[in-house]
Amino acid sequence: MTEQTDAPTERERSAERTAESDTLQSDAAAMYAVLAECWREPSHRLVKAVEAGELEPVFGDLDSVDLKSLRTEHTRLFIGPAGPPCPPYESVYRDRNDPDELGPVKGPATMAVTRWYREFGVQPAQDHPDLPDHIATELEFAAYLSEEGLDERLDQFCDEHLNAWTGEFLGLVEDETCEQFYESLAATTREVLG
Amino acid sequence: MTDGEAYRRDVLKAGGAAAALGVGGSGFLKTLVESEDDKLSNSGIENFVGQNDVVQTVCSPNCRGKCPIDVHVRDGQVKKIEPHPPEDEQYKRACVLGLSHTQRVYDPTRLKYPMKRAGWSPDDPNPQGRGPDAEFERVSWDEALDLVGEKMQSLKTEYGAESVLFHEGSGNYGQTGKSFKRLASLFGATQSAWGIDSNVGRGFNRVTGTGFFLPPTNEAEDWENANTIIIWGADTFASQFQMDASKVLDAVENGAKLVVVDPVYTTTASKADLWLPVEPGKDVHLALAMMHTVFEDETYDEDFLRTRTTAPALIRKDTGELLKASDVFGDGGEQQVVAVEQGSNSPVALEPETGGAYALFGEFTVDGIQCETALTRLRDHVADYAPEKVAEKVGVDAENIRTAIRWLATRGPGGIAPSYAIGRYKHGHIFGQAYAMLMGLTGDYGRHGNIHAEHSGGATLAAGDWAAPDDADPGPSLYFPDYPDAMIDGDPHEIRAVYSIESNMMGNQFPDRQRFREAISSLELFVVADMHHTDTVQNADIIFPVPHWFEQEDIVSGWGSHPHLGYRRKVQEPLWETKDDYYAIRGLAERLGFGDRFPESKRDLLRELASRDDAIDFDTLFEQGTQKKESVPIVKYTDEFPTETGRIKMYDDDAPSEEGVTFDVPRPLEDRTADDHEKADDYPLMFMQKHSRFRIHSQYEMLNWVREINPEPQLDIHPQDAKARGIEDGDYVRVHNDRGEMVLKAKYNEGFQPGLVNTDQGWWSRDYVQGHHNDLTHNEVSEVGQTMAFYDVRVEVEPAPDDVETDKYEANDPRGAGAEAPPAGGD
Repeated sequence: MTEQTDAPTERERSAERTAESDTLQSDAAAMYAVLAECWREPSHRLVKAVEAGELEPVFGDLDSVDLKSLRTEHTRLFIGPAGPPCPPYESVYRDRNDPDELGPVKGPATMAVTRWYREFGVQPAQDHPDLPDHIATELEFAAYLSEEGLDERLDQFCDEHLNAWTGEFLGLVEDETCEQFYESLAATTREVLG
Repeated sequence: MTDGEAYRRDVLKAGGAAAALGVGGSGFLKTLVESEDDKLSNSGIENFVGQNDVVQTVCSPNCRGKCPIDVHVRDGQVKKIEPHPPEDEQYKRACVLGLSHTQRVYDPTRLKYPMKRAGWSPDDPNPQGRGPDAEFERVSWDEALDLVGEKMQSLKTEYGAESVLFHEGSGNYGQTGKSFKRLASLFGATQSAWGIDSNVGRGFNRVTGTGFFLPPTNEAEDWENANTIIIWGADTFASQFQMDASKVLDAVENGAKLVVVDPVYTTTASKADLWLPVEPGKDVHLALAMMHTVFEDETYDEDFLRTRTTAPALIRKDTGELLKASDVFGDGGEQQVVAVEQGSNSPVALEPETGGAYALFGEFTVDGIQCETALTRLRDHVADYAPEKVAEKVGVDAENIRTAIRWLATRGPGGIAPSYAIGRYKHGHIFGQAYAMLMGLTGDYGRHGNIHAEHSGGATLAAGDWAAPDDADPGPSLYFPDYPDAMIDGDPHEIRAVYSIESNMMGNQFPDRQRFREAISSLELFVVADMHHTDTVQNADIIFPVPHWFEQEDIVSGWGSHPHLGYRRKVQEPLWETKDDYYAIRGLAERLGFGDRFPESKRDLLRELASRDDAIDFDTLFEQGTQKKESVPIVKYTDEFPTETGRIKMYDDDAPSEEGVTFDVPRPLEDRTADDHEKADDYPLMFMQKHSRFRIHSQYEMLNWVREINPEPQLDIHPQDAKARGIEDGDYVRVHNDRGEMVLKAKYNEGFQPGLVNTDQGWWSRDYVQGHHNDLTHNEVSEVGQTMAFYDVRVEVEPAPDDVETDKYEANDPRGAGAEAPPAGGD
């Protein structure tokens, strides 16, 4: 990682982009983008969208959610302080020596994913504090490949990365969570990734 | 895709959802950005080729090693760690725990983001919500710091600044503590005063005027000149292998005799010329028997006793006080003691560092006052401690007692190297007094080859009053053992909030853990900064996540180990939102109105601190990575002793007393180790918690590599004690006393004498089947020692109840993915 620059923040970039266009060309891209957003830290907008039924076409029926409990559950499942029980990083599942152990973060798999990103002209934003092989960022990249029309590459990326670890990860989420939202998110992600 | 139809149908419907979430347009890229053109040309695998860096930095836990290391980074990843010789290469060192940082730095369970306990708010702290079931929310650093700053300020207004305690442990050796103390001083907070491992040093200090932890000793490079080394209660070859052990072995190679005094047949004992298997808590008896031998053999160093000790000083038989020069001479000093010259029997005032024909033994009448010399008093005192007389009590053969001390007294320079273990018995300070005087008898101070502690002093960064500036109005200090009374009962004053750094003490490592947990539960705010989710962190209201050492820049002192300062260079940027403690301390300082008193960046801070130490040059230190502090003397005790007389005190006429025993000369006083202790029948086994080679205090607990060879806590127990209780090797057992219990696996170990059991320290709650070793320990300290007595503990052991759940060890994965969140409260 390098020093911070004056690059625009995530929010600024999003605003710029939203101003440019407000629909994705690819419906598959939209699906990946929705999943990516749902795996991130829960926002007011997410809760509003759930409550308004806007996510029903993707997830089916969702129980009512409130931001505080959703955030607490997100923190518990994916951040800590204990565990976390469901580490959302590829390397933890792929770079371990023993299937009973947790692998490292920032492992060889993380580096491999980062090389994919760079190969296709994107890179982790400098002001984004999380690791590049976070489930949300990998899905975001899938949306990007899809939106760029690189369907074969998308299949290859899913084979080499997303599908190589999310099966176990999603199983952990389904076993661990007590929020129907995350059960449903895990099931839908499993289905989409096929 | 298993169900193409369903998938296609869903995909077609995702556009609306994407729009609702704000990712429908090109704004879907949130954590990735499009690369600049020039970066694109650098993309691909070749981007990483050649990215192999070696960064010189320093390992930093409180094993005292402070080992300079090289960190090899390839493709942006820490791949390998090697020792790096410091400026003075004879102090080269490193251990396998240090090399295992390749695993620790990428541990997926590291703390990642600031957090707030979900049920806590400044106005409604909801203390009942703390503990194993607490839930947490991720918050921003600004929110976390605002909440803490606001609460500290309101507590200051309502209860006074001293109601906030700044608690500092020893988990990260750098300069953070100085900025922590500076903020505490400016704010007026209560500051922590050390209550661990200060027992032996305090006793030694009563004799020599120096020592708090273990006393100063010659730097390790000089140990090769020792002809006799008595390691007393330290397993140097196991837990200090990377540093002190090699220096002891240098001496042995040069022909030194190595004696080990230890109740345990340790690795070190197994390499000794002579092992004295002292019974727990009987060390003072043994030291007095050694003195007895020195008197019996007349092998005391007469010249040293006359020149540098109060051995010839006269004690008034009427008052028990030392005869003062002012009693005898018109212009004599009130602190100056008096001897008599042999032959003439005329009194003479003793000056520091001055020899003369002073009588060492005898009774004299001076100005009509009947007196005897201090050495006479000591000789008569130890007359009751002939080796044969104490042999059975201390568990050591009388001839071996004689042999050990004869080697020290007659083979030239040498020393006694105790560890902190004896200070873990309640009255351990008496041993400090005893061996300081014993070495006074043998004259082992101020010479090459003298040793006074298991580890040398090393070097620290001297920053003057920076941590407590002149214009500050610092609050009071509070000893660790006094925390619970302050928090629960407001004695000596109320503590309503704690900010804790570099410490897993309050939730795990302190004795009488349930009492400390009760104390925590009475707080309105508990802020804990750490790298890992310790038991202490689980009890926090606000969590500050701290980066791994490789992600923080610092100056690491070689305190307790080697005479260098080291520059801890950053190897990589902090992962997630972890931030150096200095960021939080400065952030709080800004919010509390002291922001301008703290340099903006850590680098600026380090530069300022280094500029205050004339023996260090920041740029040299930065460029070399280590700098030897040439001002550190290699041989200690070469000058006048910092006592009232300038001499070693062989008699203390102003001695403290405990439980009716006065320590004018060393007098054995035992607590739970006493054979007739009131709990001896109910709890017949003594319980110690040795340091292990596998952990540094409670650090490295989570490492998979360590767990492969040291998977779970065990109770070391002699087969004879185990069989008498129907316990087979490997059975789970319940260890209990009147304070609590723990359930763990029993391990037959003949290295532990019957009557003594052990569990290595450093395990967390989650590692035990039930309870914890610090549920068995107590928080009673002696008045003089003020030191937690972890080993002065009695227990009983029985087979574990049939219904205990040991699945986690049968599954062999106490922390693996899918395991339940660790029950950090654990009770």
